[in-house]
Amino acid sequence: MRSRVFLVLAALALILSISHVQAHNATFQATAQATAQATPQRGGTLNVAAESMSNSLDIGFWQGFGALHVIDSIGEGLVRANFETGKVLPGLAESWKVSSDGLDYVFNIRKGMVFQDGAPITAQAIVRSMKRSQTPKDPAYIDGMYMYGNQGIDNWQSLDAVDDNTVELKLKKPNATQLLVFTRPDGYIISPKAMDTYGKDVGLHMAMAGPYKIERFVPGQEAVLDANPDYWAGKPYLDKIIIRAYPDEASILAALQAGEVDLTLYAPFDSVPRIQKDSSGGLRIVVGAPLVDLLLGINVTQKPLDNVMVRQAINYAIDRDAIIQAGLAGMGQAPASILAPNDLGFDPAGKTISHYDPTKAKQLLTQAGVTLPIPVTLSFENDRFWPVLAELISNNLNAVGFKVTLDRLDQGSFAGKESAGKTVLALDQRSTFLPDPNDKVLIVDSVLSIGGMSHPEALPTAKQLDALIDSGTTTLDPAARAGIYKQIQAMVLDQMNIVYLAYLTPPIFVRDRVQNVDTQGTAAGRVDFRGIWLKQ
Amino acid sequence: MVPIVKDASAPLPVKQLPINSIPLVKRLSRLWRKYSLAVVGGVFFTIVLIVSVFAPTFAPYDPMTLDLKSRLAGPSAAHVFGTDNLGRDVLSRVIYGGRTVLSGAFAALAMSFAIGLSIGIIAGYKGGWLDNLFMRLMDILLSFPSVLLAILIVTSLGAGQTNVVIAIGIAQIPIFARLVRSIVLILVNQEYVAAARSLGARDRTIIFSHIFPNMIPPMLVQATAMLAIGIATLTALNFLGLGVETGTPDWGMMVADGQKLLFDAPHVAFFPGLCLVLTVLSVNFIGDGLRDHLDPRLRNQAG
Repeated sequence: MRSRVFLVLAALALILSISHVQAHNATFQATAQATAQATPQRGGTLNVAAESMSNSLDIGFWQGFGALHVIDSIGEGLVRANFETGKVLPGLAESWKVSSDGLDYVFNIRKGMVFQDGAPITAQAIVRSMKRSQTPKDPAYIDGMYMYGNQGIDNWQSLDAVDDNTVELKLKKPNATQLLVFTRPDGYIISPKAMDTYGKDVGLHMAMAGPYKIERFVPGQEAVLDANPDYWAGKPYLDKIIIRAYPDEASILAALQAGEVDLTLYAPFDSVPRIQKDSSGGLRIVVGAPLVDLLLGINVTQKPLDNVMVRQAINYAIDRDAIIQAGLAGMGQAPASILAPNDLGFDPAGKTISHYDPTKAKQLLTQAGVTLPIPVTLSFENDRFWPVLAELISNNLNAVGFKVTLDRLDQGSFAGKESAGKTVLALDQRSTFLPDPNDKVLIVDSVLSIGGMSHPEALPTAKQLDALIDSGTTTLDPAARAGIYKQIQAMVLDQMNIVYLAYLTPPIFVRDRVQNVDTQGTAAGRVDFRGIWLKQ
Repeated sequence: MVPIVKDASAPLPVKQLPINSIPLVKRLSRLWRKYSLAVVGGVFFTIVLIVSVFAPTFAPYDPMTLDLKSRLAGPSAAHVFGTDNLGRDVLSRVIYGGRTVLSGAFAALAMSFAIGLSIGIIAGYKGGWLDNLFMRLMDILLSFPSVLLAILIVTSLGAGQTNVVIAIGIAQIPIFARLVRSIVLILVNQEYVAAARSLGARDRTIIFSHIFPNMIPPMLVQATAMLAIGIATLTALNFLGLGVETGTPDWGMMVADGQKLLFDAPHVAFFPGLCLVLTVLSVNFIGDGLRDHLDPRLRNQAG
C-alpha cells in the first residue's frame, strides 16, 4: 500500500516537474524569441530573382543587374559608400589621407586580410588589380575591357605600392569623385592568384575580397554565393545567396508568389497595390529612394528636333502624373531635372518646367513654325514598364501634333541602337550608381556621351556644359560643387535634349522573413546583402 | 405476262428513299449527328468573321482610347471583359484584335495558296529538273519548324505586321506545293487527261479544265488547316513583339501584355486567349467536317 502511494506521488511529482520545466522553457523561448526578433539571426539562404545574368563576372565587362548584384556581394574596393549620406566608408583601406590640393591619396591597407582564394591582400596585389587595364602583359588583361568606367584611370599620374600595406595614388588634376569611384565594380580588387591561374577567364572564376564568395557560377543563369568567413568586417548573417536570372517579369512574379524568391526588384509594378493591401501572401513592398531618373532622350541632330521650341513642346506635352500612376503604379515622384532629390546640388526649381501643359506645347509648335504632324519614332526596350510608358507618351505627343511610331526592341538591340546614336526619341533611365551627381551629368557630356541618345555634342551649349561638368569634378568644395550642378541642371532644362519623366522609387519585393533591407543602394541596383538577415 | 403488282402499302427500305421525301427535321437531325462539330465551328467562325469585319459597329468603345481612372477594372456592365492597364476596354480590343488576326491569317493563306499552287502544278505537270528544283527548295523550307522559320524570316525582314504575314506565307508554301504536286501527279495520268492531250488540248486547258477542278476538295481541307495554323502562328509572333506595333489591338499582344497581370487582373489575358483558342478550334472543326464530307471514303463510312 505504502509503495503504491509512493509511486503515485512520484508520478505526480514527475508530471509537475515536467510541466514546470516546459513552462519555464516556454517562457525562456518566448523571451529568447522576443530578443531574437530585435537582433539579427544568422543562417539561411536568400533567393534573389534578377532580370538577367551575364556570361562573365569580370568587373571589366559585366552586363545587367543580376551580375551587378553578384559582383557587389563578392567584391570590395579600397573604400565603400553610404548611399544615404554619400559618406565614404573604410573598405580594404582602413584609413586614408588626401592632400589639400586633392592630388595625392595615401591608403593604409588593413593587415592580415586574405582574398577568397586564400591569397594575401597586399598593396602590391591591389595595385596590380587596379592597373590591369594598363598592363597588356598581365595574363588577365583583355583589350577593350572596362566598358562602364575605369576608376577615373585617365586622370592618374601614378599608382604605387609604397610598402606591403600602403597604396599611393597621384592624380593629374583634382577629382572630387575619386574616392566614390572606387565603390563601383571597376574599383573592386581581384586576387592575383586568380588572375595568374585563370588569365582572361578570370571572370568565370572571380575571387575577390567581399562578404560573399562564389560557390557556383552558371553563366547566363545563376550564381550561388557562400558567406565569406574571412571577410575583414566579419562573416555576414546569411549562409548562402542564390541569384538567379528569370526570362521576364511574369516568371519572376510567379516565382515570388510560389515562394521560390525572397527578394527582387524586377516583379511587375502593377502587383504593388495588391501586395501592399494584402500581406497574407507573406510578401511586402519596401519602397526605394528616388535614385533612378526615367528620361526621354531627344536626338537633336534630327530635324525638326534640332529646334529647341519643338523639344520644349515635347516636354510640356507629357503627362507625368499619368506616367507615375498608370505606368509605374505610383512608384515615382515628379521630376525636376537631371539630378534627383538625394543628389548634391539638386534644384527643385526644375519642377516648374517639367510639368504637363499641352496647350503650351501646341503654342510652342506653332511658334516654331513646323509642319504638322511631326513624324517621330520612339524607341524603347520591350521590358518592364517601358511599353506602357511608350504608349502613354505616344498618346500625349499625338495629341499635340506629333505622329509617333513605336519602335519596340529587345534589350541588346535597343542598347546598340541608342549607343550608335540612331534613335530619334528614346526611353531610358539613369541610376545613381554612386552617390555623386557627376555620374548622372555625364549623359550630357559632349565628349563622353558623344553620339548617344541625344547627341549633346550638337548643342550650341556643348562646350559650356562640358566645362561646367569638368569643373564639377575638379572642384573640391561641396558648396561650390552644388552651385555648379545647379547651373548644369538649368542648362539641361534650357536645351531640353533630355526630358525628365519621373524619379523612380523602385518597389523592392520582399518576403516577410527577410529583414534589414537597404532601400538606398538597392534602389539604384546596388544591393547590399551584408546587412540582410532572415527571421528563422 | 402477269403484271407485278407492288404492295403500295409496304414501305420502301430507307436507303432507297429519295432525299427530298425525307422530312426536313429528320434530314437536319442526320446532318447534325454527322457534322455537329463542323456546324458549331462554322457558326462560331462566321460570328467572329462578321464581328471582326464590322468591328466599329460591334465594339462598344474605341479600342485605343485611354481611361486611366478605370485601369485594370474587372468585368462589369460598363466593360463586359473589363479594362486593361491603360483603362482600354478589353472587349473592344478583342473585337478589333480579331480583325488584325484574321486579316493577317487570310492574307498569309492567300499568298501561300497562290504560290504553292503554282509551284505544285508546274512541278507535277512538267516534271524533270523543274520538279527536282522546286521540291528540293520546298524540302529546305520544310526542314525548319514553321514557327521558327517565320521568326527567322521576320528577323531578316524586320518587325512589322506585313513582314509577319509574308513570313507565315513563305513558311506555308511548301505544304500547298507538295499537296498540289502529289494530286497533279495522279491526275495527269488519268485517261481523260490523256484523251484531252490526244485531241490536241493545250496544257493550259488541261490544267484549268481537268486538273484544277479535281484539286479543289483536298485543297479546301488543307486551306482550313493552314488557316488555323496561320492564326496561331500570327498571334505567336505578335506575342513575341515581332508583328504589330505596340498598342495595336491584337490577341497575341494582348496575351503578352496580360501575362504579368495574371495574379492581379487575369481578365486582361484570359479573354483574348479564349477567343484565340475558340477561333482556332472552330476552324479546325470546319476543316474536319469538310474532310468528312468531301472524302468519298469517309462519306460512305459515315453514311
